[in-house]
Amino acid sequence: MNKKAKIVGMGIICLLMVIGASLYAVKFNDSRLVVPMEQPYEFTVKDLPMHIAVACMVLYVFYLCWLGCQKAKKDAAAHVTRRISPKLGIMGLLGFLGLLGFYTYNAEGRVAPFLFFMFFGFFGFFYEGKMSNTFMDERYMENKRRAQRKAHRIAQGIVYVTLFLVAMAEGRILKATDTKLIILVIAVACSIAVDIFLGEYLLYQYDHEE
Amino acid sequence: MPDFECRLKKYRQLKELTQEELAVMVGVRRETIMRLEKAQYNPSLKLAVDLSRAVEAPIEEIFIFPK
Repeated sequence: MNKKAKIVGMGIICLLMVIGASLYAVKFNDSRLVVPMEQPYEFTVKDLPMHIAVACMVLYVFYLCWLGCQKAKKDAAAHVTRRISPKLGIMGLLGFLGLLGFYTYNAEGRVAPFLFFMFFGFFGFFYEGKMSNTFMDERYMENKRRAQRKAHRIAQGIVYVTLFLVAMAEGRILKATDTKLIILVIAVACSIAVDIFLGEYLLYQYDHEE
Repeated sequence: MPDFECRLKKYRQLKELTQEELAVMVGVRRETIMRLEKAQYNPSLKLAVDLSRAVEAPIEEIFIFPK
């Protein structure tokens, strides 16, 4: 059995252990450690299966992280870009969660969810995936520096223009401090997204331009 | 776009090397050799020297800059 199959198998076993321990807890242990408990926690022997299952799952997650670090070290030593799938670019859709900020602001006065707009930068994974497993020779490094310089300049430009417009804004709605704060938070989040996305997009374009 | 003429392809073919083989010899990607041969990339001094040694031709014969 190859290494990948073993790792996936271990994950499935850990998941089954957690599911089994949860079913045991629900059936024989009054759903302790499954549903929120009102009293302070006191250990009983019947809690052991859940503790063991969760401990195994945590160890498995640490093992995956350690494997990832080892892989990254190996790739860095070989001067090769990391291997990721272009399909990860779909995570860029998480950027739309930033629209939740309009709801939370109206309901609770919170502006933090606007920061989710920065997840639009994950669309860059599409281009990073296309450049996966690429040898980082001098031309690659030069293109990368050029792409990042341009991306940083554009992202900074967005922040500067927004700052200027917000500071100069007049009018009943735009003059309100809250409105200015929201616009600035969205602009900074979007500039971070633009920086991340453009860095990868421009690198791909420079590497493939005729 | 760099402004020079590159005769790398001629010297590479004289040595009967493919782009891939030359790329491995000097430690770059095949695409970099391709761009160099089209004079679409300005190599570093080290890369230029490595290429010169690999194809056994003087640098000034491989990369021709207008006076």
